[in-house]
Amino acid sequence: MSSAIVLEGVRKQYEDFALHDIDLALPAGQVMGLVGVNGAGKSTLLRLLMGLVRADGGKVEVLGQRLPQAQVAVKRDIGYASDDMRLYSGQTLRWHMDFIRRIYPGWDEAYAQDLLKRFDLRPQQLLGGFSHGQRVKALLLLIFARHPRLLLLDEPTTGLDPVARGEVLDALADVLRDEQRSILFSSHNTADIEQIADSITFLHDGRVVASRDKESFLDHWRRILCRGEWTNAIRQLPGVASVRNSAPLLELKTGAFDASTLPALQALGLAVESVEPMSLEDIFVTTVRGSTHA
Amino acid sequence: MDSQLLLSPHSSTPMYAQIVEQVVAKVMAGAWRAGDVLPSIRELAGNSRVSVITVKRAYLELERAGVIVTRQGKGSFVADTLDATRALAAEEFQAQLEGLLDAARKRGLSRQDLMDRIGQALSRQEETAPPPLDEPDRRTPK
Amino acid sequence: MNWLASDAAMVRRLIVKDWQVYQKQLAGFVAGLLLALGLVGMGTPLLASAGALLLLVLLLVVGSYAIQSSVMVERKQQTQPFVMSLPVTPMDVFWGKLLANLVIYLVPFLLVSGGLLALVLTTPRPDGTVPWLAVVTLFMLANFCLSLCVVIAVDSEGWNVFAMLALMTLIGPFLYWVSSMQGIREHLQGDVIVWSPQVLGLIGGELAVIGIAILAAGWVHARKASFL
Repeated sequence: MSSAIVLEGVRKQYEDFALHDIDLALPAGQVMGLVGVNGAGKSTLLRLLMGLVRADGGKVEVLGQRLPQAQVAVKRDIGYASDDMRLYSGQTLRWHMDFIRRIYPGWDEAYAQDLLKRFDLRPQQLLGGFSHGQRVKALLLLIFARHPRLLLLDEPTTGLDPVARGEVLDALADVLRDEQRSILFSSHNTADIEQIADSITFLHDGRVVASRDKESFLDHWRRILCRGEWTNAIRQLPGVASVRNSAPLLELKTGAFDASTLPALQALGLAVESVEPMSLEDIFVTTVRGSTHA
Repeated sequence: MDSQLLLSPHSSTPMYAQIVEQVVAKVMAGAWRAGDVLPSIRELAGNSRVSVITVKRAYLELERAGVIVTRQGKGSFVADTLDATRALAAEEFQAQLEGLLDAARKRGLSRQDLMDRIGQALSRQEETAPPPLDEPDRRTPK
Repeated sequence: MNWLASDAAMVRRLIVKDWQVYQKQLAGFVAGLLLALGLVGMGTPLLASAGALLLLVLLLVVGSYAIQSSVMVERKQQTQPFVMSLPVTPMDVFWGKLLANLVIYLVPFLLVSGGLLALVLTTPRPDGTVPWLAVVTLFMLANFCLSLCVVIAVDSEGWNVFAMLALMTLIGPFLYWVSSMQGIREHLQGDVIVWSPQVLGLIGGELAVIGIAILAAGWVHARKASFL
């Protein structure tokens, strides 16, 4: 089995929101980061992959099996955690761990104990008394400790303090050592995606805007400062997502940077001052702002 | 083999470039010798909290530059030839030179200005001799 | 859609889970019911009837509380995604919820019906009330099942509460109707247990309602496209 996830033409209609023509592929052993504003469809996409929601059309294939038909077999090998998922507030963490341990044969008690220490969680504490961050870590512990082949994580580090975030990234890094295991996670902490994702999928308004490997994605984006006169032709250059003018300088952000970009700018009478790569956060904001002004 | 690199997500240098730089530094310092096996891509990625694709890219760059050699199914090794390190040093010099020319252009220096400045800098360097090696370090307690 | 659960072991674990989550509250209710039974047993006929009514009301409360906490609260508290993320089909969850609630309800239910039955048979009270008791307690069970099935099938909290309250209000009229019904009324004061055709018809009807409610709820649940 070479693909952890295959989505083809997937559609889902809600009253005031819809996912359209989603095509996505995650090869086994890779990490994919899902980027998008709130309401872009990231959570819906993850729920579709989990069988929590049934698609209206298209093909959903996870770990080589079709959903929703093979959902039980598939869910045995997936770990899913999302922000709106809660545990039983009247029960202890240990109760939840035992509950999961009895269901999944892959439960690793030694690793679970290790995670308890690293995540700083007390097993005898009632879930009702957990803070948000502790709850997120508890959910993740229940997943990590059974070594699932695919992890579907909706905002795993959102709302965590920097130390906790580091621990979660460490646990994710543990997963990527294994070439049989894959991760798909959405995050507003674009730095996380920039750091450990192999590929990035950009969702906006229920559609896939871009889906590429991270290095080439970041390689094509540049922030260029030039000296010169503003002309309309600058906007027409391929891939230009934003232009700002503050004479004598011009700032250009482009998503299609290649060998022809600088010569093209010079041809328009601009002198290039500096060329910088852009952070994923900057790319994200620039793309979203650009699409709303389109 | 110490496979812990000192990488930082906050540096302005792209991550793959940091990996290349640090592997090169280790090779040039002799910490990793010719023929030593490098950590596997996944192992390095896991230890450094970095994506696999970034490490792959770094290894590809290192191989292209002749610093390492990858053998199918066996992993990556530090290249045997000394030429590799020399080639790297030459590349680094070239990169620095381009940077200098770039900076000069930004400041609007003419060719003659640049040559004059280089000449002045060289003279200054020759004047300030490095301190003698056997000067006692007064801060070391006895 | 497959009617049956895909994994009996998983269904069993879900039932045990609900039982464990609900244990403390159940213990509280059972204590209350035992107290009420005691009152019924030792009091005067007036106290006894009041006590019996109290029992039925308590049974109602227990039932609705069980449904609310295990299904409605689970929806509000958002533990549903957690359950659905386990290796289960929606029908597994359906049977798990249904059976768990029935089991949880059976404890107080059997306590009350068995207790009342024992009280009637062992004390000088007229045994003729036994068929009436059977009809009434089975009605409570059917009422509970119907409420449960509506709540499992329909995701709207508003409709759930409406359905539960509406069903509860039927109890009073039903009691009146049954107590004054031909074939039941005349035997109430006697000591002979008579299974009249009306009694049997009512019991049959109640069992049918339970069966249909379960089937209908299962059918609706199986067709759901979203489990949140």
